[in-house]
Amino acid sequence: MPILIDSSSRLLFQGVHSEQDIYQLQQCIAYGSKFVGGIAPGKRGQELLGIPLFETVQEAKKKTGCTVSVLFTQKADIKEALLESLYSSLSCIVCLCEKVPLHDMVDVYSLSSCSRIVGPSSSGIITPGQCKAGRMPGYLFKEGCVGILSSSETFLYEAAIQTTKEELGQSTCLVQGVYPLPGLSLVAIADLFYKDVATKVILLLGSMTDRQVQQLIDWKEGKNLKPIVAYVTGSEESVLHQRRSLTQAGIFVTENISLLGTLSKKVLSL
Amino acid sequence: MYLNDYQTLLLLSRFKVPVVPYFLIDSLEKGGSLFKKHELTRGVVQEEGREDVVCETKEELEKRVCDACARNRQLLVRPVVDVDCEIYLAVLLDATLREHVVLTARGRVHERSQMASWELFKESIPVGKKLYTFQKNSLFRNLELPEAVRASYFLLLDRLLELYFSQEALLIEINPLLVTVDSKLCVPKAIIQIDDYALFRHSEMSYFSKKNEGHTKKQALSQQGLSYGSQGGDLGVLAVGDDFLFALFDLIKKKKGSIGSFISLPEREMEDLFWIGLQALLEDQMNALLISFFVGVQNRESFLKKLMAFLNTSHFRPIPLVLYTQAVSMSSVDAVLSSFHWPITVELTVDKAVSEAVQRAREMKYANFDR
Repeated sequence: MPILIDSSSRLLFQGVHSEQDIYQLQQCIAYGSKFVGGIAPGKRGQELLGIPLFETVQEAKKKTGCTVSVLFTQKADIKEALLESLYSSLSCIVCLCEKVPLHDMVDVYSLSSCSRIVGPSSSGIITPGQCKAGRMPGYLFKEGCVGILSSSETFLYEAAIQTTKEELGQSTCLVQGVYPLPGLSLVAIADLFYKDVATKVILLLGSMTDRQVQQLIDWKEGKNLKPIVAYVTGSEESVLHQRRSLTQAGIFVTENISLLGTLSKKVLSL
Repeated sequence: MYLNDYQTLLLLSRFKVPVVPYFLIDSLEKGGSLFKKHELTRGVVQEEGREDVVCETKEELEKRVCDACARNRQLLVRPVVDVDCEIYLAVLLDATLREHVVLTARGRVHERSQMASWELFKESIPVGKKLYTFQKNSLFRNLELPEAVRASYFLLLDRLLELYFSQEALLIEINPLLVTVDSKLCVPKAIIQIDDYALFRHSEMSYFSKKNEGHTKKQALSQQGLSYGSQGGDLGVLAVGDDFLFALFDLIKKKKGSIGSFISLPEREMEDLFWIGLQALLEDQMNALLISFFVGVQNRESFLKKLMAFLNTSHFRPIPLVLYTQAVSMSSVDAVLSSFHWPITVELTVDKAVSEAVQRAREMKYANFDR
C-alpha cells in the first residue's frame, strides 16, 4: 500500500488560477490522478478540465468523497485554504505554495494537527504508475521499491533517473521543500516509508537541520528491516558532522550524488 | 529581514516602547551641531556591527564620530543611563515547538542556547496573541525586580507583542533591557527580525527593506532571487536549487576541479531567471561553465534554440559549456546542438557532466597560459 496517495485516492484541487496551474493540473490528470472536484468560490456548478467545481471543501467532500487536497493557492490565501481542508478531515493535504508567512503556519498548527500536511513549499507527491499530485514530470518515474524523500525537485529527478536506470524504480516520491515549519516531519515520512510494504529502500536527500538529523537517529534505533540511504548537503562544517552521525547510526551515507542508484541497489542486496 | 539599529529604535518608538533617547549622526556637520545643541560631554556610541562604546569625555566622543564619518558609517549616540539592573527580554517564534514565546532572564544573555531552564524563563503566547496576567506575573516574579517596575513591565510586554504580531516579526530581542535607578524601563538597542515571506502584507516594511538593499553584484542578483558567489576558481556553475549546487561542488572537488563563480536559481521561476544568471556568470569570464538545468521534453528544442540565440548574439568570448539536463536522451535535439557556435557538450549523467566540465576548464586554462 503506497504512502499518502495511490490509484484509489480521490483528489481535490484548490486555488487553480494561472495558466501554469492549469497546465500542472492537466499533467496530473494525464498521468492518471483521479481529480474528482475543484474549489472555486462563485463557480459552483461549472467545470474546469471536465472536473466539477464546488464552493467549499465540505461540499466537495460530501458530494465526491475526496480524500486528498492539492493546494495551488497563493500565499495570501493559503492559511484559509489549509484550515478549510484540515477542518474537513481530508487524509492528506499537499501544499504547493512557497514562502508561506510563518505566522500563518503557526496559526494553522495551533488550530489543527500538522500530521496531514505535505509542505508548504512542496513540489508534490508521486506514486509511479498510480497517482501524481504535484509538479514533477511523470515520465521520469517508474514503479518500484525505493521510497524517496527530497528537499528539492532537482535531487528528486536525479534520484529517480538513477534508481530507474538500476531497475529499482520508486514506490512513492515526495519533495518536502525547505521551509522552517513543515507539516509532516522528516521522521514521520521516514516512518511511513518504513511501514510501507512496497518500499524496500528509503532514500533521504538534501539539506537537514542538526535537529532533524538527531530525530532521525533517535527514530532509527532498533529499525533494521529496511536500509536507509542518505545524501545530505549544506555548509561543509555541518555536513561533515551530520554525515558522521548518520553513518554511526547505521544509515548508509554517500558523499557522491552520482552514486545514489548504485548504492540503493547495493544495500538492497545486503 | 533584520532591521538595522536605527530602524529598530524607530519601530519600537512607533509602538510606544520606551527607548533611550538617541541621536543619529551620519555626517560631521550633523555631529557638530548636535554636540553644540545638546552639550554632549559623554555618551554611548553605537555603530552597526560593532560593540557599543562608552565615551566618558567629549574628546573621546568627537574622535569616535569623526572616525565613523570618515568611513562613511552612521552612528547612534545616546546618553549614559544610570542603571539599577539589566534584564533580557525576547519575543520569538520557536520553530521546534511551532509557537510564539516570550523569554526573559536576569542580566544580559551571551549565549541563549547554552542557558539552563532555571536561568531562562519562558511563557508560550496563547492563540489570542496576548499574555494572560498570570503569565506576566510569573515572568515578573522570576526576575525579582522592584515592585515599582511591575506596571511598566506589563505594559512593555503588551506593546512588544503588539509590534511582534502586527508586523509579523520572528524575533524581537532586547539584550539588555535597562531598569534605571528611578525604576523606569528603557531600551537602549534591540534586534528585530521581520518575516520576509510576509513583507507583501506590510507595505510600510518595504521601505525598510529597500533601505537595506546593497549594491554589490551578489546583492543585486539576490534581489532578483538568485544566489551568487565565487570561490576564486575558473569553473563557473549554474544550477537549480542551493542543494543541487552543493552536490555539484562535492563532485567538482572530488574531480580536483576549481570552482569559480556560481549561481543557484530558485526551483519555481527558474526559466525566467536562467538568462540573468547565465549573463552574470559569463561576465565573470570563467574558463568553462557547467550548467545543470532540467528542461521538460516538450520544451527542450525551444530552450536550446533560445540558448543558441542568446550565446551567438552575445559579446562574450566563447567558452566551453557543459550542459547537464537530467534527461533520458537528447537525440531529438541533435540538429539544434550541432548549430551552436559555442563549444557545447550535453551530458546525461551528472558524473560525466562534472568530469567533462572540469576537463574543459583545465584545457582552457593551459591554452590561456600558452597564449
